[in-house]
Amino acid sequence: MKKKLYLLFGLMALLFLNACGGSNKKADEQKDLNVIRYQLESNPPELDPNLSTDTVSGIVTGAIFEGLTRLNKNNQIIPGVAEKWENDGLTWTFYLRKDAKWHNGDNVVADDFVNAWERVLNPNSAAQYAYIMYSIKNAKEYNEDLIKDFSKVGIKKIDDYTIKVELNEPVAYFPSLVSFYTFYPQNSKFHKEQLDNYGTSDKALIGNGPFELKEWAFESKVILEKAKNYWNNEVIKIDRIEMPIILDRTTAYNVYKNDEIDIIVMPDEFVDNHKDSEELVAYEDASIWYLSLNQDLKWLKNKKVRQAIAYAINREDLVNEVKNGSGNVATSYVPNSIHGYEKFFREEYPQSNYFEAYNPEKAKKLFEEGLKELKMTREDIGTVSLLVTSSDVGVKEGQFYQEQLNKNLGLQIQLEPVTFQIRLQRSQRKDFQMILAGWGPDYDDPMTFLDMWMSTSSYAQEIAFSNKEYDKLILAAKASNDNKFRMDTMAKAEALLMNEMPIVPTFFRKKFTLVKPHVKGVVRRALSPDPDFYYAEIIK
Amino acid sequence: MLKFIFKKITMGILTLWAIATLTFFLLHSLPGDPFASEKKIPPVIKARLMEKYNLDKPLVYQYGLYIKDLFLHQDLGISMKVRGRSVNDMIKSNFPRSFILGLTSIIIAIIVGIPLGIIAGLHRGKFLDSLSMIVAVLGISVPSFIFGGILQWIVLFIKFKTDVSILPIAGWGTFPHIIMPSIALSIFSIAVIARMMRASMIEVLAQDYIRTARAKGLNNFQIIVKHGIRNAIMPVITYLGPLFAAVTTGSFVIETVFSIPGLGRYFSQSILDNDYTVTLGVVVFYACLLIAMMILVDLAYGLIDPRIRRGAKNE
Repeated sequence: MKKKLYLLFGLMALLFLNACGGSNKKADEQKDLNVIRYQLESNPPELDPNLSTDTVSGIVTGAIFEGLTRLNKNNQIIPGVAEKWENDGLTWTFYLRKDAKWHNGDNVVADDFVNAWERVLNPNSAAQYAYIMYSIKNAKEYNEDLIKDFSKVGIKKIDDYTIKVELNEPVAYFPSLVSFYTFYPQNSKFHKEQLDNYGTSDKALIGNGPFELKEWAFESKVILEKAKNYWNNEVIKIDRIEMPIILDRTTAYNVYKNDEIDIIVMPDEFVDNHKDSEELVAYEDASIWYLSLNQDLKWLKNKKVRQAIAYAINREDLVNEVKNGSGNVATSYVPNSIHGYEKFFREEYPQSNYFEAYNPEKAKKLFEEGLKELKMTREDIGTVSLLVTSSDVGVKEGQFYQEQLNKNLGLQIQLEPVTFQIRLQRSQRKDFQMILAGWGPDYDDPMTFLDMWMSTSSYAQEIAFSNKEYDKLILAAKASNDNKFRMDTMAKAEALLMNEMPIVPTFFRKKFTLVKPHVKGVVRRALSPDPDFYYAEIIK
Repeated sequence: MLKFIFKKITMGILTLWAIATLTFFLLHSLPGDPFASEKKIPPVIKARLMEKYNLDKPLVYQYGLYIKDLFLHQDLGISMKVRGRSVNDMIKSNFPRSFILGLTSIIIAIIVGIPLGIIAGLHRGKFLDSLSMIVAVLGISVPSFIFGGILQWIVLFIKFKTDVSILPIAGWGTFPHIIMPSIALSIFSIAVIARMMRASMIEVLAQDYIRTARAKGLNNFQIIVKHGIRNAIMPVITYLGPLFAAVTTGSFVIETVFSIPGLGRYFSQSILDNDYTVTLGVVVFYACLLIAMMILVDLAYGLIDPRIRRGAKNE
């Protein structure tokens, strides 16, 4: 019996030693290194930037890769691997710098971009974001397998350091578009060796960005280190980024309070504790949140009724009380952080021109007028279902709209919290009356918000919205190379949208993060890479 | 004996098959698929994705493929959410952490629960008994994550007052990381073991052979320890098998609260992601574990209790 006990203890001791990773050396080594500890909210599902679609993967790939262009501290486009570019009508030519290197020392060459983009568009890759390249000549046809010969697609290597891209239509924001991770290059030699394994582990990925992937411990953490042969590495001040995967926001908050981590996503509930603290960093994530109205329903076909809903919601209360400050009032569709012609779109075309953020009397009046025009009563409308995602946030916001629409319009709203999957399904099947929905940008231009409401788009079809004038304006903007004209036209389209009100915008979302005071210069933005550690430094 | 083992294992495999089948069809009846997203995927691309993961084939065909891989190759497939991640590898790297967490919490539960139960049993009806049982009831009824939260709060409070972090709040990798989560996880087991031990002690102490020992003139210590505890501990030890399995497979809340990269945390996430292969793989693995534990316990019972062995021989 004694022998068995000793055996058991021995086994346990072995197991403990195995579990204890022995990471106590780290503390001493790290004293001289500039280290940032950043919370990842989930395990990155895909570290191949050409195939990935989620923001967590974007955090890592944004640091370990670099595209033709990148964003500076002020979110303006600056040279990345491409040191300059030219635009001639529908053609864009990118000239690559000669000193850009992969982390294994290879030079970054034109083939690396051309091959990566071909892989994105290759139907066998099933790349979910391939559509973002559809402005390129024949890209859509190649992706849909209607064209089998890639040489027909408007992506050409002119020489090892020159790439020429031909578009279908003018895209004024093309340099901004190619900064997105779907357009990142691949080390062609390395990819040929890896094939389907590419991006599935830290051994199967080589980047060309300011940081390199040191370790990807699945479901546990990601570790990045400053890349020795990044072409601009003298300006990078951070030596190491440790990214533990912490799923639970409250746990992350407690870890932060225990000084074990430097940057976390702040749970809304604790924001009040830090309202005046310099550690609280808030930024708009350029997403718009709105009520989607199903215009197949008789009562929602009336414009005055839809406008009434818009006026009946107290957006200040929503943003300050319900969302605890994690939002900005929206009486328009394009968020504040999207660029316009020279400044931000919202600065150049103020949303105050569209409608008031709250006017209960006007709401009541419009609603009564609308009902009269429809020859309907409130009883005819019956109980209205509002579909929300079954998260705390979704339910909380839903309850607010429920209360507002009941108080100001006398509508009986029934809240239906469902999972994200079910919400999408019901939306696609048009099995809904009102949905709480949101939309974020694919690139830094108002078009990514506005073209989804063209009558040809499935989003507009789901809510049965179709407006010929709107379509005309959007197509005109798409066809023009004159950026001022584009912005003016898109503003006109947005104004029309805010008048027709097929969807009711309510707020632009803000994200709250906590950042330890000794960490400075981490750029937060709506588009990838977010966060951006390029300009970060540690103040000792 | 061999016939006994063979029968148990065959039943186990059949049970496993039934669980795998039921779970497979239940999962596929859930709405949605692994690729649902707000941004519409062009139908051509969606079709390719579904093809890659065999989701476009008839359900029965997919089921056949799955069962074949499972029983012939013990291959649980590839994750549908994390490209290229083999479910077998995922379990291999994450389960040991849940295992150590579970094991540590059971050890704590034994060290605390058994003496607690003995004391309660010996002082039946008196103050110590009531006290022990109040602790036990609290342990069973209060969810483990509340204890976890309390422990974290204590550490943060100390940090706030003294600016010293005595323990890491979350994470995994060193011995200090194990302390709080295993304590929080052990509370339920402490309560269960204590109650079992108490009941067992009371039953044993009422037996005839205890009266004989007293009549023989043995002192109290010898009666309680040599005869009382040794016999009373039997049912508790055999219960440890299923208890360990239950604790190890049910640790996902603690794993989330303490950010431990164990199997439980990954499992609950996979359900939300509609990651069929991971969910199914973990269910099958857990089922295997539980079935194995139960077979071992049946065997152990037979070995430890001579009465059962003799009974089997007589058959």
